[in-house]
Amino acid sequence: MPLPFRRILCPIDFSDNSLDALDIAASIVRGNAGVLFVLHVVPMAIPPTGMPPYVSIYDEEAAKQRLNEIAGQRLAGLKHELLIQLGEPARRIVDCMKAKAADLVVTGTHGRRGMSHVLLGSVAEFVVRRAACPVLVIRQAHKEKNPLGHTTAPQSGHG
Amino acid sequence: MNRFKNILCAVDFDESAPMVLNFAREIAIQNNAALSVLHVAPLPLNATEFSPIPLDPYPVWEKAARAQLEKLAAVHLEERGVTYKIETRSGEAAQGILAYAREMNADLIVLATHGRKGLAHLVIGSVTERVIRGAEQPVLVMRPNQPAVH
Repeated sequence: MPLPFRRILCPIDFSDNSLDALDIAASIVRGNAGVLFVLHVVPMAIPPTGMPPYVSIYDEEAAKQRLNEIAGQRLAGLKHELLIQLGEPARRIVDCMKAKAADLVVTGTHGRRGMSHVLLGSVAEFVVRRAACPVLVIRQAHKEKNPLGHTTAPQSGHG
Repeated sequence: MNRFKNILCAVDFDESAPMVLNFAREIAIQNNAALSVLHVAPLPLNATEFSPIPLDPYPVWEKAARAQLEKLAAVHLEERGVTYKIETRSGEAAQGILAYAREMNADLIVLATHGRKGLAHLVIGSVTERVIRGAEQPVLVMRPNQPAVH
């Protein structure tokens, strides 16, 4: 799926929708020899009590592993960079967009948090509002209408 | 290689139009896709004064839009050798865009957001928001004043 973009940021939260977005981002990058930045933000809970923010080191490790796994499955032979950040997803995504000078963000509409069919995901919405670059928004795929025709075997579709 | 085959470019007649058209053109060329350019004209308040019998396939208020769209397309698309189609609808913008996207079997919607109705930097247009929520296909949202292609 060629699009005139070369530095593509794809934030994922490991939901199916975000992985669909990743497949589309990957196929755009394949189309024009660009570079793909895959970002996962480990949500950081900030307790109201004034305690220091707490992130389980295991969450971060697990996220790293999962990210590597996904990259191995879906991004073989593709110039990419895996990024892990801690904090509030929406803000981190926007920061990362700037830091990496992304010229396109590919994002799903909603991830793991609920109300999926009614609302545009709050993260996606924040990103669209703050983005300095174009944003390609991928809605939850209805299986038969998925533009790639599959969700689990990304390699088969890229001829 | 997967590619987009039917691209819908929704255009508003403001400063974002040339940017959106240029981007859509590049995407259409790269994908060798059919490009449809759509403007949804708001229904005038006195729409009922017009003949209820549609003698003309394009109502009066769509004609102006069509002319303007043709002019824009001539500048930004025609000289660059893209095959495209022009379409006008009337009514609510997001609904019009979604209905036409379904009808033409679009696999990508390109549009600009402009938060005209509020704090410019924080608000995405309500039309954009409704299109994203309702669309089954990927939606490419552009902002005015983004740097040009490449």
